[in-house]
Amino acid sequence: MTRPTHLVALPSARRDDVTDAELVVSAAAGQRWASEALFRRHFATAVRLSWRLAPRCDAEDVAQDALVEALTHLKQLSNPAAFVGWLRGIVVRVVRGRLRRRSLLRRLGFGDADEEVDLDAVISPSTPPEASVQIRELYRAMEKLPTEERMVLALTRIEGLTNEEAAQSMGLSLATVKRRLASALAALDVSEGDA
Amino acid sequence: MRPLRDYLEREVDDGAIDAHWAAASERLDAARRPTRRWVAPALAAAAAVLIVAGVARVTLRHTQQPLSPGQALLADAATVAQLPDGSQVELAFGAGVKLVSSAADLIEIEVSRGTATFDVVKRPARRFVVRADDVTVTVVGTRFTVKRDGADTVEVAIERGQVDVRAQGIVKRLAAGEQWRGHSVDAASGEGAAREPIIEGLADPRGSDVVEVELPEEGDGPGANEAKPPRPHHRHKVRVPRRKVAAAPAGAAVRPRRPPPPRPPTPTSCSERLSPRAAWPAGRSRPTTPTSFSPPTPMTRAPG
Repeated sequence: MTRPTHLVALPSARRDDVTDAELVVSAAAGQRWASEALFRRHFATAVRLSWRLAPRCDAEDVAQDALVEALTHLKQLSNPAAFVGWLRGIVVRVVRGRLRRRSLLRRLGFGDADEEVDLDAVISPSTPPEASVQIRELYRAMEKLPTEERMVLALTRIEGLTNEEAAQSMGLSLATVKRRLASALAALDVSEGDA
Repeated sequence: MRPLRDYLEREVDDGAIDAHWAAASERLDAARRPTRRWVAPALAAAAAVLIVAGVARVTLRHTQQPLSPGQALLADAATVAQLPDGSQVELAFGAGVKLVSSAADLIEIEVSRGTATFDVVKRPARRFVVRADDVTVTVVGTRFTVKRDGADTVEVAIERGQVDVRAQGIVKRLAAGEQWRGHSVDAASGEGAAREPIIEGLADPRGSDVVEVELPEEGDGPGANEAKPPRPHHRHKVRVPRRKVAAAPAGAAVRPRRPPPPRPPTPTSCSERLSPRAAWPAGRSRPTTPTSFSPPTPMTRAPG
């Protein structure tokens, strides 16, 4: 089976009837309209993922970085249909890097003042009360966790990924993810006990 | 059960997407341009060198007051000492200098041991003289290093400008990039320490103009003491440029560099070029060594 290397040019980058896989192949072949289509299609998704993982980071900035990195390394993607999962891994990596830098700067005394994250603006009005409480507790606890544990907690408890998917997104072994999750949940229990 | 992310709604408007695509598009173009992969490592290496040089410069200790006449300085760490005329001397660890005299028309410094680098302010009205043992360096406005290694070797290296080096009555003017080294001759020969100057041009652009000059030993020549056994150490071999041959001391035997042997004439016709015998000039014997490879004779077992 041969993979298509050339597609018919599309009239617009905003067409939705082209699959991600086709766009990836065209963009990897150097077609700019395909890169633009991928960017426009996945920018909002990447912004939302970035915000959920780390509300304090500039989510749009993270999304731009992640998409530029993805589009410049499309040839490394062996399965074009897996673009979404691949992009998620890149967003996770960019967010991790930013969180680490923030925590380092804070340790050196250059951290910015911690403002309360405005969850009311993003929690949908139709959210059940228990889910709303759970979201607020998770974000409050995540602020105090180390970067790695915080990422594992966000990917599994907020994104709803399985441990295997979280391990794949973070490039870690399943055992490491389980260990970090256990540690994060223990810290969560402790902080709930304090509250 | 729905994942919690479904309850979180972060709005992203189209204007933001347009703006971010415009920025991303420029970044993609920049990434597509061919980059020179060596630029970043080269810049990093240059930065590292600058940082190391800066650290080395910072760790040099500077004396607060200029040296006063008669004052000696022994460096227990790399030190920069000021001199009364504004010149500087950089002392390596363990180097020792003494300011012998300081006047408006003369600065005289003795290097007692180790390596000292001088950065001399240009002042035509005063002489700047550095002594190391019996070697004297007179400065015209320059940066140079005098190294006194143990008791018997003095080295002078010029970074900028010119200096005159005097040893055993011989004066040699050195320019930037040149180096001079003098060894003291073994005192067991009965004459006490003498110095054999060996002048080495580090980078001599006039390589083809260099001739060798054999300088006669003092007292050498007709009527010299013939009972004294010949001592090769007393023949100084000095390499000087051809234009200075006229200034070589009287009695010096000038021997130009040997000219290259004549090359056989280039064959003109095709047959000459093909036939090695024809290409060899008449009247010259052919070399005895084989000029072409001939296969070895096959080994044969001796009968019986």
